[in-house]
Amino acid sequence: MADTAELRKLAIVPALNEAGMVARVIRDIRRHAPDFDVVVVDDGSADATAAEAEAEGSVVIRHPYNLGIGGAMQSGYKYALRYGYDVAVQVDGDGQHKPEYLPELLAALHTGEDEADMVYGSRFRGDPGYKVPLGRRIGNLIFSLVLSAITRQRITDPTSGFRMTNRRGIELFARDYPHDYPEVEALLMLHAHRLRIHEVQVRMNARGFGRSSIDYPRSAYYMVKVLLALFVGLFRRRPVPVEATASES
Amino acid sequence: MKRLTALPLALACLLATVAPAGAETLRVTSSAEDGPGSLGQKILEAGPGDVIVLPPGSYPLTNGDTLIEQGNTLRGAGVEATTIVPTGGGGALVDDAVTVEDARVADALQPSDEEGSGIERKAQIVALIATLAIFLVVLELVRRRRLVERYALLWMGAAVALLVLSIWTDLLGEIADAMGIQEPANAIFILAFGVVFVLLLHFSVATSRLGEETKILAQETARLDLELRVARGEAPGSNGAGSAPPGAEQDEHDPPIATQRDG
Repeated sequence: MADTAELRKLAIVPALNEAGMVARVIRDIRRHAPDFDVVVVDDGSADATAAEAEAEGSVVIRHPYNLGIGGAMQSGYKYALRYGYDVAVQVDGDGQHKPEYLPELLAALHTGEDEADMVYGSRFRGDPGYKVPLGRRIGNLIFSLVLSAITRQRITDPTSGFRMTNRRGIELFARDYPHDYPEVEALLMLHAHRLRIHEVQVRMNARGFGRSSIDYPRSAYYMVKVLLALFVGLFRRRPVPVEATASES
Repeated sequence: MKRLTALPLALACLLATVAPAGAETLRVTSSAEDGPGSLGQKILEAGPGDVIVLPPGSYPLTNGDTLIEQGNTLRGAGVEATTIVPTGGGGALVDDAVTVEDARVADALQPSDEEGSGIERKAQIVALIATLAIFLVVLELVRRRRLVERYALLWMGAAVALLVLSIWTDLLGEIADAMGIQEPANAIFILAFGVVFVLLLHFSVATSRLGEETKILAQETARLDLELRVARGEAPGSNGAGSAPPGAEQDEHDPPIATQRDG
């Protein structure tokens, strides 16, 4: 089991108008984790994101229009499922996630003390390495408390998108992935389907925050929307974990 | 006719009770036609918007026009207990400006039935025309295939309901009674609001479903676009040297589109 060399591994790179950055991300993945295939999901970019990624030799899924990060990641998971990947990891196209952690995440996914179905990189397990905006910290704390209570395990960075999952997670997310701000809800889904979550301390590049540290009304909407989704999610049916048979959830 | 004046009356009620903050209350003490303490006297004493209270008994109303000018409220001690007998200017008792509460208006001089049914008939004609118009618009939309039959039936049903209620006015009264609503006009508004609410909710659900379906379509389009470009050799199909290009290994694993339509 500990031998991960045989596994087919995929890095999903959601990218929206990341020309000038996406090629670097692809090269970084190749350098630090050469055994990962790369698929870039161009979520309706208006710039040369897709062309640059293809010039770099990456497979590119081009959305006809913007579906949002949830739709983009789901496209990636569908691709992973269709082409029989065993492991899929999200590496944001804005360079926020550092590919040098990929081997560590992979090791945690398969050789952790208890095997996990999803491993994600947490900024807040230790020192994040850069200054996180206060609003974001508070939001993160609230989600962290709620999710930790629900899942009965310590979730220090529920909004981190830097996550790697195995075949079970791929199957689950290919079928159903949350919409606007998917990270927190996706954790709840994993828990509801009894997939095991494990976290690894990472550092991230501050870049990407410039874009995603959204204005206050939007963060408020984000909070309320995700909390609502969490609350409703608690009352969803909890289907059996996705085993080999892909039954309708 | 009650039905159609009911709403303005209700509005006037509301306005009369809300607007004049400093409205005074005068109490009638005599049931004589005039003289101290009579209703006629109190109307003369009252200022605009004042409330005139009528204890149990029967009171003749002579100067209804003044009542209209001042927009007074006549408040009895209950429909059973207080009766107002209009002997002059009885039209005031149904005028929008005047509010009559908890008092019965003696039949004798109630506004004539002819006038009332005239209004009602007009309203019925309006309702009839409106219903016909809805029908025609809906049919035309269906004919042009701009509207699915499912919704066509829905709107036609709504039109029929409107028609029935406007012609069979007693039904509305009964519905209002059953709902515990005094004014039938209010009952129709509540019913209409309920229907509109449910419809909007339904459309929100439909829109959400459409959004989900559109997302799946976009993802599928993107996938086909990728596979087509790879098949034509226009785009890289794989990265690692040994990994399989798209289409190599395939079981149709596509997620089922999780929607069902029922009619």
